[in-house]
Amino acid sequence: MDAEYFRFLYDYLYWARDKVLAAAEGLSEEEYKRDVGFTYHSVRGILTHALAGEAVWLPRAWREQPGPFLHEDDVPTLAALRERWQAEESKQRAYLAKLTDAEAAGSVTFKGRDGNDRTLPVWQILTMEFHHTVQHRSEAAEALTILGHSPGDLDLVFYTRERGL
Amino acid sequence: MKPDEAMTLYEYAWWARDRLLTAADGISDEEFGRDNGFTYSSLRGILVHAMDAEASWCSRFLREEVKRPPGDGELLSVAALRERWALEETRLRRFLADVTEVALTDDFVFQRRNGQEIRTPLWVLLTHVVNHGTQHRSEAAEALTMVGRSPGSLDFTTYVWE
Repeated sequence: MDAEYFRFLYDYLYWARDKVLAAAEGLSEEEYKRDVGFTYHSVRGILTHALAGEAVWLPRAWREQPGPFLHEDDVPTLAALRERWQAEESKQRAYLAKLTDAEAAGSVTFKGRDGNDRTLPVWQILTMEFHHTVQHRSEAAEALTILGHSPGDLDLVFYTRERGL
Repeated sequence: MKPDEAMTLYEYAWWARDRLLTAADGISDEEFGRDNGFTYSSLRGILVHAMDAEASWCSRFLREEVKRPPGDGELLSVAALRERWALEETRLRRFLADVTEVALTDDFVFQRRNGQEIRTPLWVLLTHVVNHGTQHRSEAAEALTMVGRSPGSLDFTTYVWE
């Protein structure tokens, strides 16, 4: 997969994330933290996990050491979560803007959470993290819908139509 | 996107789907169709929607008639859904095996259910179908986990390492 493909994918990812965050703005603080019976318990828990995944995996593609794994206390409010996510987005967009096809096809070696070295092609890291966010964003969308705040349609084809692609 | 890359994404999607269906094995038909409060109402509803979307897009890609979605009285068991999905997978594999790099880049012209003509590069549509599957697979995974049947990790790297 070439660099342009990932620029497209991640632009879509942030478009859909913003729809989810906009829907979450309609929740009270209690609803945002309410346990809805999902694996990550609440809209806050699910979104924090999605962000935490990006904050760990994407720096590996950038050849940087990720910070500590994020927990809900690190981004306790929706505003704090949004601010942190936008900071991660800025770094990812800057990285993608310069990414070449050769770099996407190349590999990086990083330390896994178990301390062991792992080597993966960059395209696999970017694919993995894209799908990870989609998985948990989808859970957040379902949780929001259950709470009466559906984010609307998150399909890729709605993004392409909106962007005139 | 190149043809082998498209195939990789679909291989991953079917691997993850099979993890879900394995986790659902042994579930009663009643539990499969039980309303769980999700948008697509039940585990069956979620999975049938995911399968039907994949099948409908496959029909468009193959220039075949898009079938109507399965009715309330169809695909009532995990086994029936698995059997149907395997048939749809075979059709889509046939399309993916023959697709060329040029075809992926070209606009694919099709009509929406309302008759509107749409032109979109084929690689965008193939990416959409995989992404749509990820969305609803995630809902199904959560629904399964809620009834004590987690499918385990569905991450792309888990697939790669396996």
